[in-house]
Amino acid sequence: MIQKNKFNITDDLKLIELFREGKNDAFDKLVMKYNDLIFNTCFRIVNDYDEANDCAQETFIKAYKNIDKFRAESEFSTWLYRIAINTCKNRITSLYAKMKKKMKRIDRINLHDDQDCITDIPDCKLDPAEIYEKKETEKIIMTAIENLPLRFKTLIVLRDIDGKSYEQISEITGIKQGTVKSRLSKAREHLRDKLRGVI
Amino acid sequence: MKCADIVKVLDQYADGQLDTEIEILIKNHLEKCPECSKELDFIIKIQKKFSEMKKVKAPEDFLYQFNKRLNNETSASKNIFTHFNIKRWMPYEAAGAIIIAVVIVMIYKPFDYLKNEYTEKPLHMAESVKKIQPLKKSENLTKPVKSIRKKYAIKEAVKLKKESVVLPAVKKKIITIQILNLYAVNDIPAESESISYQKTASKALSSKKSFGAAPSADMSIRDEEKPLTAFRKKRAKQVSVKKTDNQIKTIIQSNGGLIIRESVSKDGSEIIEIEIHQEKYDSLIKALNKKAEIKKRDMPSSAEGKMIRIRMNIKR
Repeated sequence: MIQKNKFNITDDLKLIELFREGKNDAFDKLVMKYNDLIFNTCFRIVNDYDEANDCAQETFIKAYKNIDKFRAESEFSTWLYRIAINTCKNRITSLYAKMKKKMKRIDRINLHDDQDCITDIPDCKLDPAEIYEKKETEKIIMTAIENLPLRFKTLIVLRDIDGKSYEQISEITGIKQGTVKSRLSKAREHLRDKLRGVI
Repeated sequence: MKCADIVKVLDQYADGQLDTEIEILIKNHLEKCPECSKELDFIIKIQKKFSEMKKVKAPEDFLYQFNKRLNNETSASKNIFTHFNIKRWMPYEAAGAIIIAVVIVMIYKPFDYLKNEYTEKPLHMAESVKKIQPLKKSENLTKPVKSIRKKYAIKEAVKLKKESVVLPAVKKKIITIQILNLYAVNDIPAESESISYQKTASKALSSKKSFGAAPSADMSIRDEEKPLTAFRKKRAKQVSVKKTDNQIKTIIQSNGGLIIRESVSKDGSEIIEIEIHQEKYDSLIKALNKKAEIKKRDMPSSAEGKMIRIRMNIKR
């Protein structure tokens, strides 16, 4: 379930070193390497494609400007995640009113409303009915996650969707591992209560 | 373990985050409890749904968008500096200059007088304020009006200060004058006068212990037979002279006074002992009044045509 980090850390450090020496292409490679990961996390937290795109770009711009502050004490991806999570938190806080309007109760979700369709998921193995059901389930889960408090939301996204380890989550969020565990249990309990009888 | 306790840690059990001992306990409980097993199934189902969620990919032109936005942001930040021809390190210099200015203001406190009463302001300021703010009793002004007038007066004073030439604040000295002796100038022969003068002078000196005079100087000139003026001049040279106020000394000398002795007392005040003719006494006091504040003055009685010996205590 938990995905292992398939990216090579030494490659990242080499690219960062090259970028510091003045080769801008090196940073482009880093962007290409991590854009999907960061974008996905941003999307799961913000739950809006354009906002997620904006947050992901802002994350890389912040990383570009503050690359000198990266001291390789943690992995580059962890550092990027930390920036992304903070950017998303700030975005949600600033757009609180806007987000509040968008929030929906799970029991009032119109399953035939395709306006909020997340993405097309091409999967040839599944028949159209299965694809439709999968989409709807995902939509319900996303709405349930969206309605979680922000401190729970980030943990659910990092652990259950991105598959980060407790140690990595602790590094990214700056919360102790014990607190991460207890908070995650509470978050999952909230989520179970919301999804019970829906999926 | 109760079901409520088991349910609390079931997600961690499913996550494989629990110790083996607790895991065994939960496993045994789950075998007996169908409700907790059902809850675990639900947890596993949600986790499965999470894992089935497809990763959302970034737009294909993400890198292009990123570079475009980066160029816009960097060019915007560059423009601010290049437009005004400011280098990036300039703000640090500006900050340094501001800090230095603040330190100077804190040390010299040039605006402190605005906070306090007029008495603490420089002399020229206090005078100008007095001219602007004559509060009459008959006006029967209420307190707010008074405060407004005061503020207005301070503003006017600041204006006046800007317009006028800044003069150094004059700090007046306090001079305490004491008449030590009187004696006739003309009707005493040189020898007898010098002896009588010495006697009276030594009496006066011995009566003031704190005076700090040099008695050897008195003794050395006691037997000399010289005219009085020559004697006084010589004596003035011989006494132990300490550095005192030149401004006061010039006033004394220009008004016909002869300095006999100068010294500085323990409390830091200067003591000058002079001899002056009675006729010139008043003009000396007038001249001194301009530069210093005469605190005490013993008026000479029946001293016409006589020399006066004075001790002046000058305090700053």
